[in-house]
Amino acid sequence: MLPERAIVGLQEVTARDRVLTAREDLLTYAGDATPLREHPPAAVVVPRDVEEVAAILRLANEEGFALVPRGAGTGLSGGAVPTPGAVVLLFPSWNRIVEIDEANHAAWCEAGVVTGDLQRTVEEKGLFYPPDPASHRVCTIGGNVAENAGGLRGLKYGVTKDYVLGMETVLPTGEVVQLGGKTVKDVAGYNLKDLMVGSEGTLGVFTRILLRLVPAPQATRTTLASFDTASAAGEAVAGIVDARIVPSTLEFLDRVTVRAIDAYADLGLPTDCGALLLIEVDGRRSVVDEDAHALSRICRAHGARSVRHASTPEQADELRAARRVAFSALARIRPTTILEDATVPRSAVPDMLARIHEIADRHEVTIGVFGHAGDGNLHPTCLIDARDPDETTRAEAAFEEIFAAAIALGGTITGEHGVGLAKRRFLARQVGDPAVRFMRQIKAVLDPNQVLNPGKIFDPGPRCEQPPLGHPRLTAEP
Amino acid sequence: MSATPTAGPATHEDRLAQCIQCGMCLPACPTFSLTPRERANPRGRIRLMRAVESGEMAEDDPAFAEAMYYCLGCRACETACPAGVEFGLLLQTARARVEATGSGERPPDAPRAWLIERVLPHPRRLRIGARLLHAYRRTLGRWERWRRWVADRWPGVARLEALAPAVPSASRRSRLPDRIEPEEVAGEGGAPPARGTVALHPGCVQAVFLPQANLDTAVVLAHNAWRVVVPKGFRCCGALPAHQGGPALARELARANIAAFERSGAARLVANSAGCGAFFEGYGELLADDPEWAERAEAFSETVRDVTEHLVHEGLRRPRRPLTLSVTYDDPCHLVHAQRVVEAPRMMLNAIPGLDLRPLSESTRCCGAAGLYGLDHPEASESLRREKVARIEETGAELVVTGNPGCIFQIRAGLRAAGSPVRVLHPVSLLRAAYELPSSLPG
Repeated sequence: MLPERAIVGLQEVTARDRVLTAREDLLTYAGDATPLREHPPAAVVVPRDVEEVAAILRLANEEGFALVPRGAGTGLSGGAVPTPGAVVLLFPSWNRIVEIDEANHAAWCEAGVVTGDLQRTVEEKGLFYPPDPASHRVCTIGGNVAENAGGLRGLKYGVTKDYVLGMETVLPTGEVVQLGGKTVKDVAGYNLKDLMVGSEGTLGVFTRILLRLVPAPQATRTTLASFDTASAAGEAVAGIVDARIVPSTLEFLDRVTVRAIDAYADLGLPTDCGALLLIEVDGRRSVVDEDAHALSRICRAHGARSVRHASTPEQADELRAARRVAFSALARIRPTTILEDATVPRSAVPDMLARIHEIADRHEVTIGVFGHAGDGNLHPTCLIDARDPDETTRAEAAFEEIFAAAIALGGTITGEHGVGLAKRRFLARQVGDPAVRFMRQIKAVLDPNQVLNPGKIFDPGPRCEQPPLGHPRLTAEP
Repeated sequence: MSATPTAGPATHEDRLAQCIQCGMCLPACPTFSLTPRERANPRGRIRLMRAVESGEMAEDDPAFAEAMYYCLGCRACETACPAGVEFGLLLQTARARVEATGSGERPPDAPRAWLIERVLPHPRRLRIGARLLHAYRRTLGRWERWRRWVADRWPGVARLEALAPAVPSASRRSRLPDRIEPEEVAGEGGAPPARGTVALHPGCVQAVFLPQANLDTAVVLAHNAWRVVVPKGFRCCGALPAHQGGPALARELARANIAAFERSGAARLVANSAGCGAFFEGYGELLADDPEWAERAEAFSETVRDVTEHLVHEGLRRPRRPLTLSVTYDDPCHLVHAQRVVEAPRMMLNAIPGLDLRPLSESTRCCGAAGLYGLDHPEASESLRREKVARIEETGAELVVTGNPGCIFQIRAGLRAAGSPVRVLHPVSLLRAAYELPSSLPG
C-alpha cells in the first residue's frame, strides 16, 4: 500500500535506522489505549528535528501517504490509531524542556516531554503547570495539546488550552509556523494557536510548545468523603459549588470503581460505601483551611458517613494516585474496559448519573462511573469481555444512549478524550451539520491532500473533496 | 491474585486480555528507558504475544524471540499495573513457546542451555565446575592472549566466564550443616527454647558462590530461636530454567523440592534469595494443572517467606550494641515486584542500633543482573548496572545490602569497575555482624 519510493524517501529524509518497517514494530504501533480499535501502520518514522518533520510532510504530499503523529499512545479516542497505509510519526527523544522563563511564567518544551516531568521540574522553581491528565506520568505535552487534555484540576484551573501560549508547528503541507508568544495579550490576526489546540493531529504537527505557568499554591488540603449513595455524593457536589467554594479537584468515584482501586492499592478505602468524593482545595494557607473546614460541614450536611483529611503530603499523593489509576484498575473486573467521557454542565451531574445507571440496567451491562464531578466530566466505564460479541453490541448501544443523554442535558459527547475514531458517528448530532461542514472546510484548506491523520474526527468526506485520483484514502472502520 | 473473575485457572489468553494498553507501566520498564520502542516495553511485548496467539506473527519468528528475551523479567511492570496483568507468567509462557519452536537458538546460547540443563540442577557438578573455574582463573585464564582467543572463538563461553562471580574458598566452615539448634549459636543472653522449625533452601548458585549468606541466615535464624533444617534432596528452585523457556525441567525441580520440604517436617520455608523465593511462591501456579501435585504445590507455596519477612513478622531480637555504619538498601526485583516485600528488610535494618540507613533513589529499578541476562544482552545489562552504581554512590553509604545473589554479584562487579570502595552484602549478613555472632559455626 505504501510505495517503496516512499520508504526510500523517508530514509533519505531521516536515516535508515529511523524508518521502522519490521513486523514487530508495525504491530506494536497498531493501537493506543482505545479498546477494539487498531490497525498496523505501513511504517514508523522517528524524525530528529523540525526540518526532518517538515520534509516528511512534504514527502507525504508528493507520494500521497498519510501520517499519524503519536505521543505516548495513551489516548482514549483512537487518535493515534493508524489508518491503513499510514505512517506513524514518533518523538521519543524530543523530551527536552528547552526553557523555563521565571520572569514571564512560561516554559518552552519539546513535544515529547512527559507531562509529569514538566510538572515536577517547574514545581522545583515554585511554579505550577496545572493541567493534570490521569496518565500524567506517561503522556506527552504534544499529545496533551493535540487532544486538549483535561484531567483532575479542570474545575478551578481549566484544561490544556488555557495554558498554551504558543507553539512551533509544521503545517500539513510542510511549512513551519510560529504561533502565539509569551505575551498575555496578542490579537495579531486570527487566533491560529487555539485552532491547533485540540485538533487531534489533523491540522499540524507540534514540535515545540510554549506553556503558561502559574505560581505554585502555598498550601493544598486533600479530603476524602464517603456517602451511602451516589446521589447523596452528587448533591454534596452541588452544595460545594453553591457555597462558592472552588476546589482544584472534585472527583467522584462510585462503588464499583472504589472496589477496583482498593484491589490494586491497599489504601483502606471504604469499599462498602455508595460513592466517594476526593476533594482538594489549594491556595493561601488561611483560605485553604477555611475552605477545608467548610467542605467537611457541607459533606456532612449531605449525609457523608465519614470525612477524612490527608494528614501528610504523602497521604494526599496516595489518594490522588488512587484516583488516577481508576480507569486501569477497573480492568481487574472484566477484560475489556471501555472508558468514555460524556460531559454535562455540572448542575446536571446528578441527573446524568441517574440516567447512566438506568441505561446500564436496561442494557444489562456493568458500568462503573467515576470522574471530574466538579466540572461535569464523568467517565462512565463499561466493563465487558470483548470476546463476547453480544455483550459488546449491548455496550455500544448503551454508550449511544449515554451520548444522547449528555447532548440532551446540554453537554458534550467528549469532554477531554477527543473524537478520534471512536466518536466520529456522534459528532454531527452534537454540533450539527453546518459546524461539521465548517470543520471539514478548515481541514481541506490546511491539508488539501489529506495527509495528516485523515479519517479522524470526521470521515474524509464525500469523494469530490478527496485528494487527486490515484491516492485513494481508506479509513479504519470503527 | 487471580487475573480473571471467571472460574478455573486463568489461561494465557485470559492474562493477555487483562492488558488494556493504558501505558501506566511504561515509566517502570528499564528496557524501554534504554530502547524507546514499543517492542521494548511491556505493552508492546503483550501486543506481540497477542499477535502470536492470533496468527498475525509466526510463533517461530526470530523477532518474537528477541523481543521476549530483551525483557529482563524484573516484573516492575506488575507493580505499576493497576489492571493486575500477571506479566511474569505471560513472559514465562511466551518464552516456553519460543524454546519449543527452537527460534531462541543463537550462538551464545550454547553455554546457556548447557548451564541450565546440565549444571545448575546438579549441586555436585556446579561445585566441581566452580573449582575448575577457580583453577582456570589462576592459571590459563591469566593469560591475556589465550583469553582473547577464547573470546573470538566462543564469545558465549567468554561472557559466561566474565559473568561468573569470584569463587570463595571452599573451606569446611562454609559448609551448611543439615540441622542447626538455637543453643548452638546462643550468643549473648543464652538460648531460649526453639520457637519452631524452618527449612532453609540454600539455592544452587548461592550455595556455591555465596555460601556465607546461607551460613549467616542459618545463624541469625537460630539466634532468633528457630531450629533450622536444610533438607536433603533440595535442588535448584527452577527459576532459571523456567525463565529461559524450560518449564518441564522447572516442574521436575519443583516436585523434588516440594517432596524434600514435606519430608523435612518444617512448618515454613525460608528463602534468602529473592529470585528463588519468588519462584517458590509460584509453585502452586506452576503445577496447577498437575492433579497429583497441584494441592501439594499450593500448600508449599503458602509456607514460603523471605527471611527478612519471617524475622520481622515473627519478632526480631534487636542487636544490643550499635553498629556505626552508613548503609543503603537496594530492592531486589523479585522481592519487591514479585513478592511485594518492601518494608520488612528496611524494618530489619532499622532494628540495628546506630545504623545510618540512607534511602537509595530508584531502589526498585533492576540492576541488570536478571538471571543470565548479561549473557545475551551485555550492553543493556551494563547500562543498568552503571545506573545502579551511580545511584548507590549518590547516597555516600559505605555499604549496600540486597537480598539476592545475582544482584549482589552484579552490583559488586559494577562498583569494582567504577573503582568504588563501597561493599555489598546480604542484609542478613549485616544483621549477623550486628549480633556479633561468629561468621562460622562452632565445631
